[in-house]
Amino acid sequence: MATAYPWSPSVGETFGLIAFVTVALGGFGSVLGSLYAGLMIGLIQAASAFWLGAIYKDIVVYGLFVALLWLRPQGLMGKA
Amino acid sequence: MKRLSSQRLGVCLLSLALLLYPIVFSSPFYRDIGVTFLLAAISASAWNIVGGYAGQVSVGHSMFFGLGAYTPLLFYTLWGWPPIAGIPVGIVLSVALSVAIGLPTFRLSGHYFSMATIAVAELIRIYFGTWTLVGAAIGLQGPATGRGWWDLTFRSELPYYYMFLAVLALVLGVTFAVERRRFGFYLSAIKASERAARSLGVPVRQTKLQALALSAAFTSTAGSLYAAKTGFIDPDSGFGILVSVQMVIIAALGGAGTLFGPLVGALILIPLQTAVNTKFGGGGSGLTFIVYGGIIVLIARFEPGGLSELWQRLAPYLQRRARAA
Repeated sequence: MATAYPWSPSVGETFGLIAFVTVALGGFGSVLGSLYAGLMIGLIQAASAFWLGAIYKDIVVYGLFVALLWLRPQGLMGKA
Repeated sequence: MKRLSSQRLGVCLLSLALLLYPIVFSSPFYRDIGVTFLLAAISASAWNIVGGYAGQVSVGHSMFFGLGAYTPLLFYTLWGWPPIAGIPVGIVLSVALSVAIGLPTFRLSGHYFSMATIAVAELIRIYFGTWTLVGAAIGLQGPATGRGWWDLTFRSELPYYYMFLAVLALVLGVTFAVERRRFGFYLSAIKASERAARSLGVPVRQTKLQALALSAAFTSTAGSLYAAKTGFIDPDSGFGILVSVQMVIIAALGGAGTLFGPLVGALILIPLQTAVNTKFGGGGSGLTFIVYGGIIVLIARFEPGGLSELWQRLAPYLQRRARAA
């Protein structure tokens, strides 16, 4: 990742938070779930950065995350 | 009976120490530490109501803090209203937000709830960073010099200190009342087991919402006080995740779900943080994070119940030793 992004000591915060969101979205403890969720979030980020603007990509991800948790409180593939 | 009176003596001594502190330590530096400590204690105690007593670990409380901080300064910037007028509006907005957040997220349990609250706080932070009405990434500024006491802009730290102390006393008083009432017992029942609490007839959803709203109101007040004192707010200092993390760490360090836990936590963490900042200055901007990280690791590994639990285990031993001597 260091080859593709600007790097600074505190950059982990942004990526780390998205990583947490990914795991929670897939369902804690589900390997396949976080794989799918990771792919989804990556695509959504890229698409919303393209259509809405780079500032809004994380807003879209967090918004969709909360909305999806409302529908499925245990994540996509987590056990209830 | 004896235990109660010794507790009462402790509270009296603590209040006396807090009341006299800025008079004994009259240099602006120490007074500023005192004000920072009080602010941290207020927000951690506010978090404690829902995060400690009800066991709903929210890591997104910065949304209420930020809302409380932005509203007074926004009113000042837009219409020149004194910041004090914005404080109640901030509280109303925060309570409304807490209900809007609580309704969907209280279905979630454990990590999912924490994650959802982080997500909402981050969402608001990023949005405020792009919203020109609230100053976007630059943030908002309060009055540079006070037009009167109602602008809450003082040269000296002293008025801030006693104002914050009064609010802290109010928060602790309400927490004490909550602890004693049926509402408090509901909260600890929910913390122990939500399913069991529901099966015993506790109105879980309603109780959790009320706790969150109460907590949001006080967190918003803490935010307003911060804005009044600093006279400046930007998305990171209002809605940043570090704001939430600080509340959680302070409460967890002292003992989440105890009346004086957050106060003890702030008493340890804030001087420590100031010491780190003064020692390393601007060269160590990340060092506060390192201290926080270290404390998280230590609490999680050795004392998940915080210092109050350690004290409860230590106290009988010390008493026995005192008696033997």
